[in-house]
Amino acid sequence: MPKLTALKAEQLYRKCSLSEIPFETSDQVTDYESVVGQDRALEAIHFGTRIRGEGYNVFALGPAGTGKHSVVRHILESEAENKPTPADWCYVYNFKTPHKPNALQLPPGRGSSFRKDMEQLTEDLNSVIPAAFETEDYQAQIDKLGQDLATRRDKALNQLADEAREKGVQLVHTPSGFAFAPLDEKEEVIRPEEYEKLSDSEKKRLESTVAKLQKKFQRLMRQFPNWQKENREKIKETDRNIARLAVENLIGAIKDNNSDLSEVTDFLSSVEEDIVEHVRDFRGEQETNVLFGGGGQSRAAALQRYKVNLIVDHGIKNSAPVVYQDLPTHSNLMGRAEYQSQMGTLVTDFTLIKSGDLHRANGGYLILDARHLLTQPFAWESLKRALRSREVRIEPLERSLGLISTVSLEPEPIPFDAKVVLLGDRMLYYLLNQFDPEFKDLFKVAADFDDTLDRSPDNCESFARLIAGMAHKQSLRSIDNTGVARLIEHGARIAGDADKLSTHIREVSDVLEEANYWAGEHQSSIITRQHVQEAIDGKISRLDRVRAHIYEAIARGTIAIDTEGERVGQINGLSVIDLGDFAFGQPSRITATTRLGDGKVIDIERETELGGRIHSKGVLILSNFLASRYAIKHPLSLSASLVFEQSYGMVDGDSASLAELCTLLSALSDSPINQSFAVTGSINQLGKVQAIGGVNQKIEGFFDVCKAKGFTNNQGVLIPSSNVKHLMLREDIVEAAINGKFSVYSVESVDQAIEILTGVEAGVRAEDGEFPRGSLNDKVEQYLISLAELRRRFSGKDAEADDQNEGGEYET
Amino acid sequence: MRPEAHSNETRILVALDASPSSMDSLEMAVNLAARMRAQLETLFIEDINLLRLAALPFAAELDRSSGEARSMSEAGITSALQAHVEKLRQRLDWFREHRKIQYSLRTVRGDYLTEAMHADSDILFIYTSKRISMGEATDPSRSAAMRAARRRVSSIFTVYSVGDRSGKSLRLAVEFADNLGTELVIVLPAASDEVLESYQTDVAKQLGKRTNVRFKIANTDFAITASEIDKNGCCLLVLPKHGDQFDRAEINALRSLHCPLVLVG
Repeated sequence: MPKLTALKAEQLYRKCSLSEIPFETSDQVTDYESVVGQDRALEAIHFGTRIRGEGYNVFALGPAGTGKHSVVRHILESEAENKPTPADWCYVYNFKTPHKPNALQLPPGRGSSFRKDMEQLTEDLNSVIPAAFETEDYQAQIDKLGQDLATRRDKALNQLADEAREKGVQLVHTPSGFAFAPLDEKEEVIRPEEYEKLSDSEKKRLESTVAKLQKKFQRLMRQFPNWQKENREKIKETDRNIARLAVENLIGAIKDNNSDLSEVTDFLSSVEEDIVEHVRDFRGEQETNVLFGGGGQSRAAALQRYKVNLIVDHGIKNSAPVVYQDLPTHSNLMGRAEYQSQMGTLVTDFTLIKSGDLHRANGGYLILDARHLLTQPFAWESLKRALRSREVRIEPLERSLGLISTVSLEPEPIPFDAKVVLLGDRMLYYLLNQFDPEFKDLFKVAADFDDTLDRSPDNCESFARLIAGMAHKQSLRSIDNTGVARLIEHGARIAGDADKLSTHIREVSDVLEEANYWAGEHQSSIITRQHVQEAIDGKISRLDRVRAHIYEAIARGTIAIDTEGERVGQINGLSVIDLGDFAFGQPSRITATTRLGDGKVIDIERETELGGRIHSKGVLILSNFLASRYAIKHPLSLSASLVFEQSYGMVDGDSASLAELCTLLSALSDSPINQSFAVTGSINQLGKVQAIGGVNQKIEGFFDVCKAKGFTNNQGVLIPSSNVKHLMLREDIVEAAINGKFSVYSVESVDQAIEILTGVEAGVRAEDGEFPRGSLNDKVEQYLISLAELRRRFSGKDAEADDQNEGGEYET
Repeated sequence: MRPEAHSNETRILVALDASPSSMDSLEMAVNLAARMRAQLETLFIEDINLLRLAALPFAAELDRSSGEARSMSEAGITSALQAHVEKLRQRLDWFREHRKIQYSLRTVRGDYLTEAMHADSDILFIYTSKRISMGEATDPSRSAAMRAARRRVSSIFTVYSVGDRSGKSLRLAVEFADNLGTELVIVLPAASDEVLESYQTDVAKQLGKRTNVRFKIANTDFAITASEIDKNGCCLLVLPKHGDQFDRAEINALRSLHCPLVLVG
C-alpha cells in the first residue's frame, strides 16, 4: 500500500480569487442582486403567484435566515405592480337588521370620497332638517292640520250641541268635562224646583233625551282618538315630505357621484328613507340613547347610522397590496368589532369594526410566518376557513369562546381573493402536509429554498453583488473586493463545503454589519478582508466560553487527551459540540479492551444509554467488519468493549466508527497507536471510510488542543477522503500545515488509517488466504484464532464436566 | 313697551269661570298688568247654571278625555269649583313671583256674563264664547316657541267709533299688537263715507307711522261685524265698554266669537 501524504494547503482552504469579484469596491456596483441561486424556489413563487386556480397558495419552506421573507416580498411586490388595485371596502348600517352591517365595495380611491360625502351629509343634516322644520310654510301646514282637527272635533261637538239645543238641552263645560243641561223657557238651566213640578212623563222625556245625547256624545268621543291618529299620520306625512325635500338634494348629489354603483345608490336610498322615517331624531326633540332596535334616538346616535366605516382604503395606489403580518392573531387576520363602554355596558356598532390583514391584502398578497400563525389560537383555522370559503367573515373570538355575553355584530362577509404565502421551515411544512388534511388543498405550491448553492464563478459574482447590495441597503461603508472575497469564503465555511456557498444570508449580513463596525473602530472608510476577519473572530470569541473551558481542562490534564506518544487500544476521536450559534470540535479519548467471548463488541455508551442509535449502528457495523474479515474459518470468540472516556453526555453519530475500529484493531493486534493523531470518519462493513459532518470544526478542535499542549510537528488528523472537498479550515491551521507543524490526511479505508496510526503495514490477504506474516491484519487474525481455540478448549472441558455431572445419563 | 297713558290707578279685571277657554285671557291680563304696573283683579264666577244642573237627579258629567259619564252633585261641583279656584290661586301666586304683579282673587256665584259686566273695572278681560271646544289640537312634540309663534299669526281686532272710550280702546289694541308683534285690524263701522273719513282721520292721528295695521270697513250691525272678525281669525278683540250690559243681539254676537274679549271703560 503506497504511503499516504498529508493534504496540501490549497486542499485545506479554497480561497476566493479577487478575479471572481466583479468590482473593486461595492460603491461601484449599481445592479445589486437581491437573491442568489434559489432558482427552484423562485420559479415556484412566480408560478404560485400567477396561477389562478383555487388553493394555489404558496408555502415557502427552508431554514431561517435564507432570505425567504425578503425574496418573497420582493417578488410579490413586483408581481403586485402588474396587478390592478383592488376595491375599497366599507361597512355601513343595515337598516333592516342593524346587527348585521352591510359591506359595500367601491372602486379604489372612491371609498374615502364616499366617506367624506357621508360625513358632510351628517353635518348638513344637523342644520338642514331643523331649518326645514322652522319655516313658516311648515308651521302653517302643521297649524292647519291642528286647526283642522280642532275644527273637526269642535264642529262635531257643536253639531251635537245644536242638536241638543233643538231638544231644549244645552251642552255646557264643567270643571273636568261636559254635561247636558236641560233648559227652561228663558233658555237657562232648569231649576231643580221647576224640574220637580214637571210631570213624570215630562221628566222621563227629559231624562231620556239627556241620556240619548250622552250616548251620542260618548260615541263621538270614541271617534276622536282615530281622528287624532289620522291627524298624527298627516303630520308625519307632512314631516316626511318636508324631510324628503330637505335631504333629496343632499343625497341626490352623493347618488350622482356614485351612480355607477348600484349597491351604494341602494344604500343611499335606504339612508334617505331612514332620515325621512326618523326625521324627529334630527329635530332634537327626543333625547333617548338606544343604539339598536326601536324607540327614539338621540341625534348623535341617529347620525351615527349614516356614517361609513371605510375598512379598506387603497387611496391613490396603483398596485395590488402586499401585506406582511408579524403577529397573525385571529383578530389581526380576520378583523374585529371593538366595544366601548356605555353606562357600564359594552356596546358596539358597525363603526367599531376594524379590518384585518385579510381585508387589507384582499386582491393582492398576504405573507405570514407559519410558526407564528400556528402558535396563535384559532388563527390557522380561521385562515383556512377564509381560503376555503373565499370570504372574510369577522367572527369575534370572544363570542365563540363564550367570554362575552353582550350585543355583538355579524358583519356581512367580504369576498376574499388573495394569495397567501406562508414562510416556514421544512419541518413545519412536512408536519402540516402529513397531519393537516386541508393543507395540501390550500397550499398547493411549495417553494423550497436551498441551504446552499454551487460556488460557481457566476454564483460568486452574484454573491458579490448581493453583498454590495447589503452594504448599500444597510447604509454601511463600502466593502472592497478583499472583504467580499473573505465573505464568500465565509459563506463556503458556513455551508461546510469548499465548493458551495451558504444561502443563510442573514449570517453573512451580520458579519458584514459587524465588519462595518470594526472598520469604524479602525477609522477605515472601507471594509476590507481584515475587518471581515475581525468580525468572524469577534463573533467566535464572544461565543467560545464553553470551548475555552473544555480546552483548558484538556491542557491541564483534567480531561485526558494525549497528543504525543503511543498507546495500545487508545485513540483520539473527534466530536462536534453545537451551541446553536457556534459549533466546535472536541477530541475524545476512545479506548478498547478485548477478551475471550462470544463475538460481541460491547458499546458501553449504548449499554449505559448514553449512545444514540446511529452510534450503535456504527459499532454493529464494525463488529460485523471484524467478523467478516477475520473470522472466516472460525467463530469470532471475542468480547470487546468500546468506550468514550470521560464522556458523560449523549454520544451519537457514526463519525467515530473509524476511530473505534482502529483502536479495536490496535488492541487486538497489540499495536500501539500514535497519539499525535486524531481520527474521524465512519466505516462500512467492508472497511471503507465514509464522509462525516463537521469536519472543519473537528480538525480545528484537535489543532487547538495540540496548540494548547504544545506542537510536536508531527501531529495531525485523519479524515475521510470524501470530506476533503468540505475543508475550509482556519488560516492558522493552513499556515501550520504549510510549515509542517500539523497535517491532515485523507483516508479511504481502515487499512490506510491503521497504517498511519500504528506505523505497521496493514497487509492484504494473499491468494492463499493468509495475511502477510507480521502485518497488522495478520496479528489480529492470529489473536482471534487463538481466542477461538481457547474458547473451543474451554467449551470441550465444559462438556466433559457436564457429562460427568449428569452421571451417565447420556451415551457417548 | 310701557304705555305712557296708563297709571297704576288703572283697574284691570279678568273674569274667569270653570271653562278651559276662559283661562286664555288670564295670561294676557297678567302681561298687561305687569306692563302697566297695575293691580290685577281676578273674579272667579261659579256658574249658577252648573250648580242648578248638578242638583238635577239625572245630571251626569262626561269626562273630557274618555267621555265616561259620572253622576253630578251640587257638593261635587262645588268641590270641583273650589279646587279650580285653588289651582287658579296657585297660578296667580306664580305670576306674582315671576311677573311681579299684585293680584286679588274674588269668587262670586252667578251668571258669568252678568257678574263680569257688573264688576267695576277700567279694563275687563272676559271670554264670552259659548262654543263647545275640546281645546288645542296641536302636535304635542312642538316647542313652546313654535306654539307662541303660531298664536302670533292671528290678528288683534278693535272696533273704532267716536268717543273717548273708543280712543282708549284703540290705544290698548295698539299696545297689544305691538307687544305681540302681530297685525292690528281696525274695524270701522261707518254708516256713510263722511263718517268713515272722519274715523280714518282720527285713527290716523293716533296710529302715527305704524305699518302693521289694516282697516276693515264694517256694517254698523255688530253681530255681522263679530261674525266677520271670527272668520278672519282673531286672537284678541278690544272693544270700548259702552254700558253695564250688552243687549241680547250683542251677547249672541259675542258668544259666536272664539277669542278673548277686552272691554275698555
